[in-house]
Amino acid sequence: MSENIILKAENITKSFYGNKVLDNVQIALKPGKVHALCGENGAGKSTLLKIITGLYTKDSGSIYMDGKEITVNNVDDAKKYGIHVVPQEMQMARHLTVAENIFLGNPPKNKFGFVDWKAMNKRAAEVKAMLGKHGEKINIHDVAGDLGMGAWQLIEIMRAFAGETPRVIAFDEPTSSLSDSEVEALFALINDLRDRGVAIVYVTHRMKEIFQLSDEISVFRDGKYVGSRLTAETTNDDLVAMMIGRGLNLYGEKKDRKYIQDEIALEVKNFSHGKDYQNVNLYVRKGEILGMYGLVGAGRTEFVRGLFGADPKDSGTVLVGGKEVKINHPRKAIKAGIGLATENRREEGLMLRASLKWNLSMTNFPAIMNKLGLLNLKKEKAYAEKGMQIFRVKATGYDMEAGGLSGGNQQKVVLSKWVMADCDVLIVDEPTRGIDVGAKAEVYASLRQLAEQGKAIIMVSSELPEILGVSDRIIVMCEGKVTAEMQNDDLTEEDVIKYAFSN
Amino acid sequence: MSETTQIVKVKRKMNRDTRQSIVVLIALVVMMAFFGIMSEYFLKPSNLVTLFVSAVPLGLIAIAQSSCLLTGNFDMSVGMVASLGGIIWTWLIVDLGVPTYAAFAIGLVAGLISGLIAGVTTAYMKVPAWISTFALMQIWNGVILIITNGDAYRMTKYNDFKWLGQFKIFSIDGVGIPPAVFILILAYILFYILLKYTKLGRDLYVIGGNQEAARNAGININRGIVFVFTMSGVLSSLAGMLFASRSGSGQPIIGDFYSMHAIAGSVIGGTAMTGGKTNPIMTFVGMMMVTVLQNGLNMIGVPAYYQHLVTGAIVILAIWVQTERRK
Repeated sequence: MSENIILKAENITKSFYGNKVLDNVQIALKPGKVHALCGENGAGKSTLLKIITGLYTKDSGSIYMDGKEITVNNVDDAKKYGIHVVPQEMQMARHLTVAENIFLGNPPKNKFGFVDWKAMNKRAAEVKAMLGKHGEKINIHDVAGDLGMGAWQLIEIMRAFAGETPRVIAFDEPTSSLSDSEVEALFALINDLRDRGVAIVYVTHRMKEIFQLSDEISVFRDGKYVGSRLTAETTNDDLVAMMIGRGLNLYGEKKDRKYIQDEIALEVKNFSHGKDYQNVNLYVRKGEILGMYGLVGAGRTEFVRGLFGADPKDSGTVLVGGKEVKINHPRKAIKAGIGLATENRREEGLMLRASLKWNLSMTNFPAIMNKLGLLNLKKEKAYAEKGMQIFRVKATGYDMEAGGLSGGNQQKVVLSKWVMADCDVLIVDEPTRGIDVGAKAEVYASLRQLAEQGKAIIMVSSELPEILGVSDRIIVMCEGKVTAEMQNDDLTEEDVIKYAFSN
Repeated sequence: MSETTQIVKVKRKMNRDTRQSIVVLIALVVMMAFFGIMSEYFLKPSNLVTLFVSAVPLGLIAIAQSSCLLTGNFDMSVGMVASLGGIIWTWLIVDLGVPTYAAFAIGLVAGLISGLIAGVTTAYMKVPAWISTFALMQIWNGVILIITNGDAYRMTKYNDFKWLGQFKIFSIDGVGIPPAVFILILAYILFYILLKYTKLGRDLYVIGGNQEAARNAGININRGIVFVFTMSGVLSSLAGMLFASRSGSGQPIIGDFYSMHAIAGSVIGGTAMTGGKTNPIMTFVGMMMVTVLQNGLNMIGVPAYYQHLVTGAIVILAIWVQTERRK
């Protein structure tokens, strides 16, 4: 096996202030193979990626390139060996051109030490040509801020081609912010890179992508190396078991509808807003989970934001418990008993520099106030303690700053905050985006539990298994319109997905 | 990013706030010791009391500035509104014959109006706060010059005018404690309660911490912003009037440096320039540090013009130290 390995890392250990985050882990990358790195939030995937690409330095262990031990102390070292990373949060100077972004921080210079624009544009064009058909859509003179996420990713990849020939490219959750067509283009590009003999490391939470793309899989758990498998010889269940260390029934027991009451909790009539969504009508009963399915851009997110008052709408009425309420601001929605955990939880839901306690209580101040209308800090602590347990947030305590949590745990905090808000109608938009399998099961169980308490839940999701596994009733949207509504009785993916595409 | 990595980092961050507070307190002690060695008068009780009494206007303005910074805005106009308060008060008394306390109330209303304008332009009209308050500063400067023609109002004859700033409730080492000091203490107590125990106070943290999150949590952002600017206007005007009462005159230019010094005090006390973070007690400590610095430089005989260099450098240093910490 060893004859064909570009990069090997062995016995890598990394601690932060005495806390081991990587414990004796390993990885071996082969040219022309896509190596998926899997594990739950906090398993150590990103840390290893950062050590290989020079963002962190290891405490102990060795990295070998072509069999020879190398030292990677910083990003420039890694680049010298042709090791690159396409980070999850892309680094782009929004006001500069594609060419300038490719050579960001290191533009070609002439003999006077000034930027050589001609050489830069020429080299940028060469880099673009190297990507062949994948680079065709991009114009090197375009301003980065005008381009989409897909293009930004392309620029990150072009950076890898700007210096030495890339030999290893690592992708950290590359599809998390892409549309479907962009994902398709990215996969085509990754396949192409693989054909050219580049070794690819691919970190993702999306099981589907792992099986679609990878040749090999390595699994990490709690900073330890669990094992590697050939993708072709691994099943979804195998992988989940490796990641969480046990078998898992993701969606819990078969649904029992006895909790659904006759009373309608929320009814929405004739909701419209421009091109986003037109004439949406729906209702949800107490104790019911209503799944809203659709492709990205079908108008679901826009609709629920309009319903919640976070974005304006053109027309439409909302009835809560049979009574009409006017909602033009989230404040009104919350007053009416409606909560919305938005899709972009980190950006729209968290105070990164405040404690988890504060982040949890901000949706439900009445719960922590005393008779005089002042905040009762003791009550708040108890409240936060409870909130932290719903999804078992991994943190040192409720006094920890939210910005210090991993992405997945941040998601959990925002969801908890809304679960704790005691809304009669809770809308969750892509509730499991970016969180690991173990936490997914906890989210589903918690939604179920809320429904059993008589809450009405609207779950917006573009993950069909989740829609089918969790909802009692399903509404499908396509191009801003509701195209189907069905009871979730032995439905298959085909039954639902056909309504998500326009004719 | 790995969870454990982050947790540990944050452990340090948590202590970091406490640590920074301790560092600031130590710095304050060191600074006082330094001035005490350099000048035999500095540590005398009379000077320390004077120090405290003279801190009243800046102390009030630091509350104003901390609140604005907390919501992610800041108020450039505080110094000029202080001047405006003092001038309106003395002008009404001297030129228009308005009774002292009625004129005092009108001075507060002037601050309130200024703050309302700043708040409404920032919150509802979405003009960046530093621009709108900068513009307001110029407007009030014009108003002051129109009223005064650049001259001060001498108030030596008006005894009830001087009561707030000069009446000796009791004395320590020969230095009288005027009612203004109690106003300052009361203001800090109320500020502490506002931020720690009221929903409105917490709202301000959320607004500065993440405006979008605040909106989605149903918090009234505009109301919060108008509130801090209005409070800022009233406190600044009050500060200017207390200064006038203590000095026995209405000065057209008292507040040139208040904006900067108040920012310095807030930031030294751990208030984040980017919003979402402040601490009432440390704001007080930070403000005292600026006051000590000025008083100490006076005591050791540094000429006033050079003092500006030092305080200016301190502001940059304080903000730099804070930025450094966030790496």
